[in-house]
Amino acid sequence: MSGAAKQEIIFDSSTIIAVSNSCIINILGALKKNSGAGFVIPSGVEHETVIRPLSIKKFELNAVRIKRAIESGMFEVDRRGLSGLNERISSLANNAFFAGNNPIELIQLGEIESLALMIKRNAKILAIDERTARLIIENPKGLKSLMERRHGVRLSADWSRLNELREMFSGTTVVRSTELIASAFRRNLFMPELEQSRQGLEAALFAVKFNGCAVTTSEIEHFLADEK
Amino acid sequence: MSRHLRKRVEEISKEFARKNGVKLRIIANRTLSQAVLSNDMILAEIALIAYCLHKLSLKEHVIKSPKWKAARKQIISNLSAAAFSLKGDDLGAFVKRLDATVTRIEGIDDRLGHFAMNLFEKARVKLASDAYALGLSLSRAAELTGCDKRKLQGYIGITKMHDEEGGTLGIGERLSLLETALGAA
Repeated sequence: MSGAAKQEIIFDSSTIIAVSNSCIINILGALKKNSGAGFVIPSGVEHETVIRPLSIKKFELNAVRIKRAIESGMFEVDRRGLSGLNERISSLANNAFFAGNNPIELIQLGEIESLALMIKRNAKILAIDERTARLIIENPKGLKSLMERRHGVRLSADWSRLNELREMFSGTTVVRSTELIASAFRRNLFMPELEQSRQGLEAALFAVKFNGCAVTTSEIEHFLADEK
Repeated sequence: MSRHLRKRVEEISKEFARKNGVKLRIIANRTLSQAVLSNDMILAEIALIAYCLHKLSLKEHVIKSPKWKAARKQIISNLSAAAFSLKGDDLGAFVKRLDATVTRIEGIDDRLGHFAMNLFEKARVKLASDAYALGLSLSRAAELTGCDKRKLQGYIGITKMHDEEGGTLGIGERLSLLETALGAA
């Protein structure tokens, strides 16, 4: 860690869930310590990953793990109100693509709050395993063609809204749990949670993929091919 | 809009009466796509009904059960009543009839199903995954279909959906951006 100002990573619930379901949340903790970065979540993500699932037996174990990670200081919960920013982002993203004259509601508060917190905290790194919110800010044309292909219809887009969104997040680095794991691996942080080996890395990357991270098998294989 | 809903429900009722499980699946897909494009939770519920009827129609232990004939008749009657209520633009009565259809299907599944997770619960996860494939975010797909987001994320992980869509930036490229950003504070 250099003496420079602390960089922050804002987490969407999809990344926390994928990592926690894969039982490797402590590797994230090690990455936080080693990199000196702040890991921050909006209160909506805490609600989604801890408060609500604590009362559902099927998800209780994961909720307890994430609760512990928050209590230990791995994640800071930012409880400030985000309503103005939420509304702005929602109005841009959910009025960007049209089927006929009808705007398509693509994202919901679950994703919007993490995006809003990026702006609020002037953060530069967003961790999100979910695909649609990522594509809206990163590759809206790709999202439009994916939707057109899947629905078999032509859609129209309001590019001024999409450009405004892209502008809002222009300096943002978007990562998934795969990149956080890869970073931890390169920093030799897998032990004692996992073997510090190529096989350990492969296992961790596929585990988050099978827990919903939007990554392809060929991306993982391509990355592994270059790792010793 | 109500004319469109009516047409869909009539179509489901007709194909269910004909025991045409394949057509019910096609209707479910088409209806879900329309629900996504028009942000319509009622259409999503209709898609769920079509999907559940498709699944029930394929289960041998269900269709061979002595209880099935009466249950089937009741479902067709509920669907017809739902469609009829829209002739008078009574959306409230329509939704009530749809709910009654759902309750009826759940009743069959409770008595004849083999699994702890009920048919509608599974159908919600499956259709939420389809809605995500159609472009909605995880949260929005879960909201539209009434599915739990964690269940949805777990289900999507075991599908080949992300492989079929292809990637944007690879892991190496994103990792390099991450390291630069972490070092640039």
